Amino acid sequence: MMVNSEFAKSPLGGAKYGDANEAILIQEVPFTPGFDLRVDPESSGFAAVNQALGLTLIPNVGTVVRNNASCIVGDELPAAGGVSALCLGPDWWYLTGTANIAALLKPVQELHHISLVDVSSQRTKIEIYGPSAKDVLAHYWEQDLRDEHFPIDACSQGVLAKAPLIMWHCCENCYLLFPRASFAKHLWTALTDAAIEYL
Amino acid sequence: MSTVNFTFDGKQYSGEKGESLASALLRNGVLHFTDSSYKDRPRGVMGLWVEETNALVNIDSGAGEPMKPATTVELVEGLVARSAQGVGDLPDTRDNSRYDKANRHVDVLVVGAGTSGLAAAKKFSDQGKSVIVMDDKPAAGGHLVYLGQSVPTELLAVLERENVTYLPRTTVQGLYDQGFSVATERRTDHLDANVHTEMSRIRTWHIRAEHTVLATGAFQRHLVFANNDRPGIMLSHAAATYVSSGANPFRTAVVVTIDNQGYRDAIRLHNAGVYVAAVVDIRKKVSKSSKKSSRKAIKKLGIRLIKGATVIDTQANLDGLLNSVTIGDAKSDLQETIKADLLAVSGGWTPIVHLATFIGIKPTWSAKRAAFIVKHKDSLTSTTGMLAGEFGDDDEAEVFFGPKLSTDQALVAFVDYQRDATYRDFKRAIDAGMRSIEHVKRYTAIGTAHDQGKTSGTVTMGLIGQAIGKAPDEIGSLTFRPPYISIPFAALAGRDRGLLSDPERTTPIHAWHVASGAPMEDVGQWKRPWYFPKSGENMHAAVLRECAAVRQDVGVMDASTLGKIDIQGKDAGQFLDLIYTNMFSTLKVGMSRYGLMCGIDGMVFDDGVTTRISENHWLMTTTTGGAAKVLDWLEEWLQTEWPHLEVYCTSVTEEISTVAIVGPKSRELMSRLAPSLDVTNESFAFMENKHAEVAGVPARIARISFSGELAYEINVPASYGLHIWESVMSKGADLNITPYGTESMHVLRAEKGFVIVGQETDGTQTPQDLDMDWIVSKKKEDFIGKRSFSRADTARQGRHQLVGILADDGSYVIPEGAYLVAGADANTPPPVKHIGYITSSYDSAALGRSFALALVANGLARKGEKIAIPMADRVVTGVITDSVFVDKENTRRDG
Amino acid sequence: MLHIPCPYCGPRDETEFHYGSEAHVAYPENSGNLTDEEWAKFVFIRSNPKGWMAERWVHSAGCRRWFNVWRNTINHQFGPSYKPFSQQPKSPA
Repeated sequence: MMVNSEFAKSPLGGAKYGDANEAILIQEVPFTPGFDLRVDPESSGFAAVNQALGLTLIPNVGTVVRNNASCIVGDELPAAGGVSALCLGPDWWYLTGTANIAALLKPVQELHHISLVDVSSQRTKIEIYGPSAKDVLAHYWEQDLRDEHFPIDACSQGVLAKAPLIMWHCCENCYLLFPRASFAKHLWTALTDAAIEYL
Repeated sequence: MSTVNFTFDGKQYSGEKGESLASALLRNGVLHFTDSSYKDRPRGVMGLWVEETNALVNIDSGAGEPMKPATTVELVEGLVARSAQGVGDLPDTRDNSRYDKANRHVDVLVVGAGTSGLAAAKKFSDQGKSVIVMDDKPAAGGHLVYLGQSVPTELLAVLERENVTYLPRTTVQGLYDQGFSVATERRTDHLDANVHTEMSRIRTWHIRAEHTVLATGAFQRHLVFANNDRPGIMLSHAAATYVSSGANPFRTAVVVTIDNQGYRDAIRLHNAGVYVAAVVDIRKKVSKSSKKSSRKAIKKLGIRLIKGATVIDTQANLDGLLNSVTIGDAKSDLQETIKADLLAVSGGWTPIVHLATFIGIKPTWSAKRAAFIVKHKDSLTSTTGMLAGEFGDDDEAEVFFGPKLSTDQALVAFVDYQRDATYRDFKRAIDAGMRSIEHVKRYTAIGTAHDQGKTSGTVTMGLIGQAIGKAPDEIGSLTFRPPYISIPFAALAGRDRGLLSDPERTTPIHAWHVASGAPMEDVGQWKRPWYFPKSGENMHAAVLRECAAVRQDVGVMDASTLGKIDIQGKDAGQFLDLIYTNMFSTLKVGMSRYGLMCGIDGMVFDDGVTTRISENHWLMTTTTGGAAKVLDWLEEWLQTEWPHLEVYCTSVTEEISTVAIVGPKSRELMSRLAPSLDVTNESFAFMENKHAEVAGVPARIARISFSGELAYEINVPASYGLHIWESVMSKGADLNITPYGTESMHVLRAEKGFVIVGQETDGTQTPQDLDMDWIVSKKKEDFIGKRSFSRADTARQGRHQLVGILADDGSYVIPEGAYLVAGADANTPPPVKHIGYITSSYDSAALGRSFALALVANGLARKGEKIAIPMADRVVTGVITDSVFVDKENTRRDG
Repeated sequence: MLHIPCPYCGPRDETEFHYGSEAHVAYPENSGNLTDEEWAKFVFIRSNPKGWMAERWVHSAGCRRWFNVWRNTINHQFGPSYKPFSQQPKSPA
């Protein structure tokens, strides 16, 4: 969704806590475009989606493929244009990036059985960065955060401080959280509370 | 070591920082710590660590904590402690300390940092595994620390390795299935006596380990003889450890033992300057190696050995402290009394089997060690060290728990010190026929105190065995339950308190609702505005005003919490026909339809309006509370029954913000908000959807009504929700635009007889029960729930059916949940027949009186019948009516 | 806290799942022709064995997939999990 900034509000108003030079930085990245894509990897639509996005989606839950920068802090890929595709289910991807995803996939939608839903308002994006990022997350996240089990460019859905979200380990000491908008304030309270000990 | 000052029972002392409070008090010559719970007997410290049964204290400094064994309290400057007589008390100030939780996955969890735990950590670390070593003591090394010996450096160095994490002061409280452990780490109490608000005082760890090594070690246990509880009677390992570290208030000791540990401790006592008057060994004969290592060793030091004897009784001085010990021959009546102010008891080792028994591993009895041990190894769990029976080679013990006692002696021979439970209590249980440890425990309360039988458990099983001539393992097995030691509830709660105890879900418009002063209603995790009071208004007045404004002018409601599911695919219509009781595949593009879904049992499950956005694209709405449940339900049928259907479902609950404008003036307001939209009834009909720009943003507008009034629901991407709401408020200012909350929404829908799933239903109502047979398709071959409608029970007469109720007194609002009684009035004598209950009940501005909805047996056939509602103070009478109270002809919805 | 092996995501905490009762109880195709007894058996009656049981779970907070898994009702041990319509692995018993 292209945002009309005059009228739009993000769930956290671009809140920021800590600093990139300290043990922890937590910040909302408002108005990050996001789409839920459903496509059967065995179907004809799958190749068409790959071609339209210029990516090769891997239908293994937890994988990320991308051709753009993931986060604000430290990434070598270009921030503009491009798509990141997070595999959330065997036929389910979360697409995010500044490419015009809706336009790219519109022709595929017309010919194939896929579903593309704009969920840019449904989730916001929280970037959590720093040497203590993993420790802060481990207060609430029951899944294994060890790098060998959740390496860079792995993603997972789960429950953080009782709020469902998508987590993406985007680069060293940096994690992106995509919580549902209604949980954003709760999550912010939880994360900044856990961060107290590390700042 | 630095010297610190502390207070015990109001008196100032000094001790060494980091030593235990028990040690510091002994160092200061304090032997009488407290009195026993029930019998007021003087008690001193018995043990070294959490096995301590007597020396309980309340901590008043810092966070404060009741009933801590003084043996586990680390001395810090300014510590304030009070002796606790069995029962603790909480400080009456709020504990402002921070408590938190953390999760950790690891290859290997090693519980215990004694030499065997360290060896296990080394082994797995060498294999490249990640290891966490958790140990409840302040320093690694286990017994070596007590013995004052240095821990081998190659073992200590393991704790520094990259793949090893060492957490001291961390107690594994529970071990569960699949390698899951819960531990508590004490992080600040040993630093100083302050309250820490940034660093958590106790951290609760949730550990998932591929493999867990239990290296929990062992406690020493006591023997049961007369007056075995006096200050000055201690476990031998504890006594020797305190004395060796300089905490030595004793002059003369007697050691009584069933194994070689007593000898080792006698030597330590001797070396520390205590005169050891005698070692009393229950064993007449010992093995050659024992003879060499123990008997000859004390002989060399000139310590007297009394073989084949035990302690029968003890005596105290005027202060209640031990001053002599009566020794008896096990086989004869020979007795001797020896002066001593310390009786060091070595009743054998009790391996700490707790964690193993938590996951159902049964300890086995080793007669050689006189101990229950756990020798276990599988892919998830293994044991090592003393727990696994790996005692010293010469650690041979006699299976013995105490001498025969006279009735009088039994009265003062304590089995469980904390419960003041004696051998007499125990004997009574045996004489009453109890044989199982579980029965004896409940009969005597042995093992039910603060220490949960850490030392008394094995003693009790041994005594049962002695009493009935069986080995302890023939009696049963030790079973423990988490937590291993008592912990503050606050530690288990962690940060899950206040705002963080449960997520509060909020809509994009929430801040406006809060600023307007609306009280919130909890709907599941959602916070929804309940009503919007003007100054001085109570809820009743606010709701009447809001409802009147909706029926006369225009109201606005935040409906963003409704569950929404985007459904796409060529078979979506067919799928919806199977899910809903009514027909959807025939719905025209751009139209919405209300639908009801049932479970396979035919009971109403959820409801909502579903819109056909385009040929193969639908948008379903669900109840606020049902969103997640319905999505699981749809996926269940698609994935497990009808995978051939080309349908994809995507939750969009929070993508779309919905602002409903409701009331006769909503058409005017809608036209102001969307000047490009033709809002006339002819071009924008009921249940139709239009796309238009509203207040500058693209929107889908639906003519849906949950009140019976002309209404428009404005749907926009949630980022614009607040903007739309504010635009509605400003454009509608001169139309008496009135924000209303969930309460008015409930009243307005009830006036129209619209049900709320979860309020009119509880999972036992069919559509027919709700007087909604009209929504059950007769044309469709099948849909979920259809077959159940013809089951004998669902088709029978007399089911509870939805009706209206009007109390005769229109000013009385019947409480929801009230029971209805047939044909009765205040004069009907009991018994009266209960025929149903009130599901919704309100005062109505439109009716100028109260009204209610109810489920009544055979209700649809009973309209006009009189009923009574027995209340606590009176009987209210009323009449059964139709469930629709306002605008039965649906004339208002088109404006 | 059970650790349930999702065939798509691997083992995850129980809190991410919802239970779906016994597996391999198919919706009858011709429900209209069933007697009340036959229908009631489908709706209400499940085997509830002591020991190994094939049951359904949905990974609600994760991939949202329904799947089947062997579980021992005595000790919560999990056997293999498998996708709907795939070959059922043998009972671990």
